[in-house]
Amino acid sequence: MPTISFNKQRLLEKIGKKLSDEELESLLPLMKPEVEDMNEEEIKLELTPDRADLFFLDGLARAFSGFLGERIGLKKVVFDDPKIEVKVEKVESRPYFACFIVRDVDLDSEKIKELMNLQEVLHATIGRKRKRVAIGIHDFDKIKPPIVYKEAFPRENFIPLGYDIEMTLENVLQLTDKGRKFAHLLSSYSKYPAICDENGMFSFPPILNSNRTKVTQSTKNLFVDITGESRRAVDEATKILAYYSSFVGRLEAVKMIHGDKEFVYPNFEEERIEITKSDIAKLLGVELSDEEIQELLERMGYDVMIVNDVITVVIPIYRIDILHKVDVIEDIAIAYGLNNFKRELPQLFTIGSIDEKEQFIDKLKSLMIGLGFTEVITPVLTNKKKHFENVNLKEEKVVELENPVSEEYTIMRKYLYPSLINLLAKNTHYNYPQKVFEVGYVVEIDENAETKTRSIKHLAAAIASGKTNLSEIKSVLDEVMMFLGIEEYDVEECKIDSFIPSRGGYVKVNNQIVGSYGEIHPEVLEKNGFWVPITILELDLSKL
Amino acid sequence: MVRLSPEEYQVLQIIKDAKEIDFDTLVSKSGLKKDEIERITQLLKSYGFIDIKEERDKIAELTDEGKEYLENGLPERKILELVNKGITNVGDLTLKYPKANIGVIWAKKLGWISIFRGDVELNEIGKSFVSQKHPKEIVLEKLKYPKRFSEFLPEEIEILEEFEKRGIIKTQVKKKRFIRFNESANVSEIEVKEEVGLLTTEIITSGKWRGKEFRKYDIRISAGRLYPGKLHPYTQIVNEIKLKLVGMGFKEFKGPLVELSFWNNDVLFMPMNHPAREVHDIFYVKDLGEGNILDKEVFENVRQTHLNGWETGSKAWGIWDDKIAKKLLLRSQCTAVSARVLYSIGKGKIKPPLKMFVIDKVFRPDTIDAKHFIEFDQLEGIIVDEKVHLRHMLAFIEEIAKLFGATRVRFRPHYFPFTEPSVEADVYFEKFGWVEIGGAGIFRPEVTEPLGIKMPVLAWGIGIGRLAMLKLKIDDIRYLMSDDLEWIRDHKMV
Repeated sequence: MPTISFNKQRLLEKIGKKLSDEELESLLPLMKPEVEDMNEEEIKLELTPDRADLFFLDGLARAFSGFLGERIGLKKVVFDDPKIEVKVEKVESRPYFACFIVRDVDLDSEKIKELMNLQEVLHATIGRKRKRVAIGIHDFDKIKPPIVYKEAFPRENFIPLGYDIEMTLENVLQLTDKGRKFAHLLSSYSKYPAICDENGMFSFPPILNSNRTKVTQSTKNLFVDITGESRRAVDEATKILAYYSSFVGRLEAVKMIHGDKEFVYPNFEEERIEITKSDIAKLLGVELSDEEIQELLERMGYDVMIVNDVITVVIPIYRIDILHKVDVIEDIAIAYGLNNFKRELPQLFTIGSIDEKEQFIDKLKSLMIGLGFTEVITPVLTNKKKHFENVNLKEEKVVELENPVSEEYTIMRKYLYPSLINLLAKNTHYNYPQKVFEVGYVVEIDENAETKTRSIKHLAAAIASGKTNLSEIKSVLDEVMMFLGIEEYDVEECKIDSFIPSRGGYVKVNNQIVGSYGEIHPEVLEKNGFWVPITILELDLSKL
Repeated sequence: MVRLSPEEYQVLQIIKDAKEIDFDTLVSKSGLKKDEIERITQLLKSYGFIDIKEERDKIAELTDEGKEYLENGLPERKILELVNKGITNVGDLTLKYPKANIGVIWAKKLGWISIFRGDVELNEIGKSFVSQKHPKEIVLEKLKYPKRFSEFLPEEIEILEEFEKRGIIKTQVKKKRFIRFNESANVSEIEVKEEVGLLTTEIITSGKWRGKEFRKYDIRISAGRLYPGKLHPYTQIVNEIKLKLVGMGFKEFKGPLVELSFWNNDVLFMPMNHPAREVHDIFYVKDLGEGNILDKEVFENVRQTHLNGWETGSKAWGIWDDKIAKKLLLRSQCTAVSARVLYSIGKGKIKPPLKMFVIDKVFRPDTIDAKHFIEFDQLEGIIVDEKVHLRHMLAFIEEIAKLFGATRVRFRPHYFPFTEPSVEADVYFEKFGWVEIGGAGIFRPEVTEPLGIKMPVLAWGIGIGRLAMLKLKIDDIRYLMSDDLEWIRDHKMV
């Protein structure tokens, strides 16, 4: 979620209402932005990613003053008729292009900073790190039309922003910070996107602008370019940038020429969504009058027309988050105030219950406690060394993580007892005997399953004590089986190298292996730093 | 005149013969039980026959580094060997042996080598140790298993101290009790008389206790600690919450830990390019390929919903990729379980109205520290009924917050891709103040309708780990995955 700092005094001026710090802190979150930090000059807000129209001061102030009832209704974003033409060619590496002009801007250093910040925030959020959308902002007076968006060869030259020498595009990708950071976006293409004027290339989207068209405090007119991977992405970014620009200057559209087609861009119109009063009542549980609905929606920046039961809501172009009427209804709830709704429990009779397998597990746990075992909880994630090597298990196929964050946790466990051995190894300085058990998840691979795996629960118990031996753990097994009502089961000597030869066995019910038990091999004890014997038992509860 | 039982007298004799004896030896020599010896020694002390003193002894145990040295030799030995082979340049030594810098320092301290302009020269002392073990190495060999400091010679203790500083060994202090006979005590005035001490079956059935005196026991005597089996404190909390939710009519559900992206993200209308799908928010499964889509029809509904809104009236996202939807991942939110339950309702396998909850594991890549771990539990629930709405949801959250002992609840609007409206809840605890506990919302039509659900679905989620930590008074989340057995043993009723 983006965190953005705003100049507090300017924000308050734009809101047009005197508010104390306490009021800011308690009122802003009622409209979504949360106050992270605040001092005399600055207010730092955490914004939700859906409301890109609040990512800059004028947009935030406009929405907030509406919310407070000061400046209500919809703000139109109007473009003057085009005066210049822009030719758009086919650019495979970044097929979608948009641009517009902002006239008569008055930029001070603060405003330039804000503009750069907005650009960065949009790159990070709706731009998805420039993959989906990238933005360039230029001093329009440094550009000599005709302007054309086209493909350039890697060997073509240009002076990137912040440099005073010509570089090939290839070099820009290799040598500049931004180039290295975003080169992967172009790596599968042999030609790159370029925006050119009479004097050559002035923008290399999505990497860098040119130094020639750099925006300074003396810039009077802006040229804004937007490139991206889809029409929708480019339009969304254009809408937010146009909304921003409408506060700093006069917007001017351009005449776009695509081959033999010509059209004016931007050409957005406000969309309309129809909702009914029963939609509102159904979702929010309140019956609102026409006047109330009108007032609530206008405070959230919409224009509203109500005819009988049907409410036509005009959506500002910059509300790119509105996908469905429920999004508008949420805004009604926000304007109403979530804490002003009368909370009411529904008269809704349902029968609750604990999951059957979990009930079974709870009963089993009570037996284990009766047998003197203490419950432990260990992570499902582990690594091959801990899971196999440390307990002399031969490596088996397990679920491995594609992107582990630590060498400690790279796989999902298939057995439980290695986790117990690992836990006991960390507790060798405490009093013995130590008797622990866990009922926990293990994950098995099953190619035919929907998720190609099965998440099942095992029971494992371990006794670490100077006196423990095979017959002690066998008694535990017998008690568990008796408790479960399994009268007939076999044990069969097994070759699990965790155990001393001839002191480990499989547990079998109806000829199916359901678990194992045994006395841990001294080699394993030595590896893990134990000086007492350990016996263990593990049962697959999905088979019992 | 002091009166002792035969056992007491026997113990006194053992101590007298030995002059000084440690507690454990006394237990084994006497053949009596530990707590019996405990009682008898306290009694003998009270008569002034013996003194008891406690000594602390350290136990030394090799660290991983120490184990490596035990196997491969100390760094100073490695240096000695290498220099003796003619490798004298410090740079070359480092290439041959990564820990050369440590080795050189210690070999120099031992006077084995001298260093001149980056070249190492073997001294006479060093030469003499080429084929001879140094006392340090003898000590290291003795440390194959953990040993008490007292088992070492006085001159070896110094080496142990050096080892401890170097991180070759770690130590822990053990208490040991010594019992010494008090030479000045007058033991001639003891009368040995049989009393009834430990009541045995033999004494009861034979009636031998009749007419005899019972030995006086000190009822204040401290008995040894028991370590009963118990539930992990966190389980106790979870069980309590489950019980209360069941009381409110919620039914528990479970789902798989390894999930299809489809259930974890796509059904929940998370756009295909959403940042929460990236590798820093979700663990993906390696080498298992794509998951299997079982219900092609619902898959297609969801695909259309993402692309063009399907029948939901949504503007949708306009993007979809089958490959992404079929990816296997480690469940990052329990909402995946809710989604599966909604699917079952849509298929008519479960009949609404329904209140369901899930409390189970999720996995997220994160830095591992006191506040974050990469697997943790989430508590989520949904309420499905024709007539439920926002006011019900707010009331439910308030009710659930009260289960945790909160007294007040306030709401803020928020954004989740799968609910609209979406809220976050802060709850007030008298002890802790306002705490953010989780989020809630009404599932978007883009989530419910492709699964065949036409009624509103209220959804809520609670950060259970955070609340458990408050309740257990711990500030490290790793206690919830108990590394520390003693913490569980010492934990009081929750």
